[in-house]
Amino acid sequence: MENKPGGSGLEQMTKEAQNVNNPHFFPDGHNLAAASQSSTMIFDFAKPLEQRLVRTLPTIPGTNHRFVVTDIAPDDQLLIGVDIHPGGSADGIYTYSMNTNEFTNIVDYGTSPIWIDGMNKVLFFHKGKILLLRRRDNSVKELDASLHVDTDIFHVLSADKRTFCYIKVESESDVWQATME
Amino acid sequence: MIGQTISHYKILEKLGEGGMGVVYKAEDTDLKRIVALKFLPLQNNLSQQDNDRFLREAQTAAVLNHPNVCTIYSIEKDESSGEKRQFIVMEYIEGMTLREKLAEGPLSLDTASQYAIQIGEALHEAHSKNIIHRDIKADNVMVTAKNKIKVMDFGLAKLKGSLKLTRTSSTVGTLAYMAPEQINGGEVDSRSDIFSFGVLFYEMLTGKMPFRGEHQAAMVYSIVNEPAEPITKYLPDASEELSKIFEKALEKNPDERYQTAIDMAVDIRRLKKQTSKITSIRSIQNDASGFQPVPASSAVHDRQSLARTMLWNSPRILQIALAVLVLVVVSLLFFGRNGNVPIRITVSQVTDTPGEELYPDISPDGNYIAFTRDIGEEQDIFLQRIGGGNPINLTKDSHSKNNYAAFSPNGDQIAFCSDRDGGGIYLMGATGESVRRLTKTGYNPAWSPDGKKIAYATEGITIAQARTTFSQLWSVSVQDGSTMLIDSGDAVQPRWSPHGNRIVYWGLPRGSGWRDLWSVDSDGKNKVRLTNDPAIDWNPVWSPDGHYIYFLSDRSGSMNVWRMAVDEKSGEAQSEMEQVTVPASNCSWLAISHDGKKLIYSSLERRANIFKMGFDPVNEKFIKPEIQITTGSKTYSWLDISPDGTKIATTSSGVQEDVYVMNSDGTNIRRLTNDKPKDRGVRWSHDGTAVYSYSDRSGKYELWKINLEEAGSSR
Repeated sequence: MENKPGGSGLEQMTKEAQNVNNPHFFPDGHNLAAASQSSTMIFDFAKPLEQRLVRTLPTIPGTNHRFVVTDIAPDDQLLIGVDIHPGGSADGIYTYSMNTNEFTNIVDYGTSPIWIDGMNKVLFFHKGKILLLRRRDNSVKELDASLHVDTDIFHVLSADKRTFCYIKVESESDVWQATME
Repeated sequence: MIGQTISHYKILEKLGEGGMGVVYKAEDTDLKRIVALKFLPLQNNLSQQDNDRFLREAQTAAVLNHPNVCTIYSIEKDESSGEKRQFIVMEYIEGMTLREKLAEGPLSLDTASQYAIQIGEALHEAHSKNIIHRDIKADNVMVTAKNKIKVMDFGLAKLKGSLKLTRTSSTVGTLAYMAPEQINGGEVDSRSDIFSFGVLFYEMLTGKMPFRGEHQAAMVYSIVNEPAEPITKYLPDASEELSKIFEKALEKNPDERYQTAIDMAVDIRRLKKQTSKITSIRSIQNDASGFQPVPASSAVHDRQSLARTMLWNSPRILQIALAVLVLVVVSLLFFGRNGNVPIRITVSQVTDTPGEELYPDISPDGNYIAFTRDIGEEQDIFLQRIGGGNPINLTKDSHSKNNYAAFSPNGDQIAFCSDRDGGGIYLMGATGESVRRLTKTGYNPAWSPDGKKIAYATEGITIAQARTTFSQLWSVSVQDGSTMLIDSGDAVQPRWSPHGNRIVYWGLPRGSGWRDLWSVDSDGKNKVRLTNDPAIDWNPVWSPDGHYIYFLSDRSGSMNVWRMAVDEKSGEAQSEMEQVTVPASNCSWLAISHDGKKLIYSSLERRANIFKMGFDPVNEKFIKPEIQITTGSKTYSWLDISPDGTKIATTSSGVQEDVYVMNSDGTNIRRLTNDKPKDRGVRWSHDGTAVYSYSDRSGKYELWKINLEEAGSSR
């Protein structure tokens, strides 16, 4: 089949002043959280673009750090994500309640948290390790020491939480010198 | 010749001789390394046109930089004897040819596939640069002791036609491997190489050729008119998938053949995964079908002899001649902005250890580089003498991430970033001593020319495509640590002009995803935008005379070095941009020496494929095995699994970032977008009918929806 440059069936869904990235759908299927360069925004795609009110989440209390959402609990209310330092580094994992507008720091390290078993457990990544936090007692265990995951790469868990899909990066870089005569 | 020194090459031994000339093993006395020199026949009978063609072909091939391609370092001329003799300086490889390997018997499917995948990747790299081999055969493929493949003589087969060595040599290639269109004198393109690649893969598995003939005419008839011998004749257990690979590779009509070498390599890789072993080769009596490849001409025969002689004289055990320090030299001509001032560029490889060596900077005396290397979860800064091979770890005791080293103007100190003790910019002596913290934040430090200040950004850059924050530009006093905001951003990777009055940097224009260059007075005034288009422009550095800004850009299709003339006082551009080509498919991290003669950069090769594994959320464990979903050289980034689990959406990264969907086993890949805008961050809609991504197709990054039923697609 002939490829159509740019694809067809493309529809612009947001028009914001800032760049928008890192989208995550709510389980309700029409709300979507996405990061901007200063905060996280929530869009309701059930409403037309012109009528849509965008909800902007606050920064982490007492800081100018962004809360970047990485997953949303099945109840559509409890967001989980990472505290992002202005320099870009991650500074711990937080939850954010859509009901109470409160942040809760659940662990001081790690990236890319994903809800498991409802909201009972959190799968997350830290320094190449895959960790699991049980919210009941806040205990953390490493899941598979042999599965080294680069936290800079991308991964996703299927909707039924039974397939872990990820990207493995192989890279090689050498230093060269070009002499101009 | 043995024992003589030609230019700076001391001839050590003759490796072989043939129609293409003589090959010698030699020592490069300047760079202290062993090379192979291929002397072409005396050029007196060559026309200027032929000579120019030879130079053009060889220079084109010299640009190839791939682990599976034998590197051409330079093309030089020997006029010492009063006769003009061109010779090619190339990588000296120890190992055996695939021809020699096959003399020991056919290869297992696993080994043949392993080799074929590497050959396919080498061809793909060359074809992507419009270089056709024209003579793929077992003699032109080297196998090292570690089973690494090196394809030799890219672009040189065409030369053979130029040299008019024999009556028949205008048909380039070895007959048994030639595609029908090549034999018929038709247009030859990358698909002709793919045909030859198919013949070679067949030969690897069976020790036989797919087209037979007891003499040249019969062979020609067979290739042009007859179907290939079914692989099952020799491999009764061969799978249908393997047969299909040969059917597709050996199609008479190029339009019905594999269209790219990487497609064929991907199929072979998939087959390799699926098939555990097909090793039994049915014993075939050595009858008329037990033929050997038939050379197209005596010149080709000579060339085969040359290759064989060369390799028989080589030790069998791999010892890549570039042992401790690899210094590769490629000579290129770069024409200045008026097109009439050629600048000779000699390229040398400075580091050659596995993994990534990043963020290089060159010392003021031009003799050392500092660079960053991953050590497990840590990063350390290494110091290495250029031309030496023993890098010293300057930060080995810190057990943290240390990177972005920058030599002070007098070379006594190195500024660097570290995440130790909360992070920031640190200073150390040039050999790692006397470490002190200068700031609590900041990345990519850049010294002012008087050494009194350091400019830095609030976001660190790993690659141009990855940006996470809105970065500001600051300077800090080296003496007292006082800081000053220079630019509120977005601004990253600053570099001070040689007289200290301006700073060049790159950033994202507000509300845009572009990467453009700016310069600004060192006090933050008079900001000037230098580029203003969708191309990725990054990593600017000022030439020491203040006349040029060199930078990296993908505006030619791949990331390479560009420059523009600027006025150092006003920061205004004084010329159009012009490309300074260095041989790297993905150039990153540019620095310039204080005499302005040396550019230092990293050549980054990255591939990223999709894998999957089962997960048991109840028992909290992963379920092996790990299954590879995609193969090949494409670099995938974001991914999402469809709600019903049957499909995967993903994006490619690199020069073009597009959206793809595929079945969850990697089959039926559909490309949904195919254009310059960067599409990232895919998410499936809940009903699985659409894929959302964020894209800069409106000028800045916004969310876009692709309705799958309406989307165009290509395999």
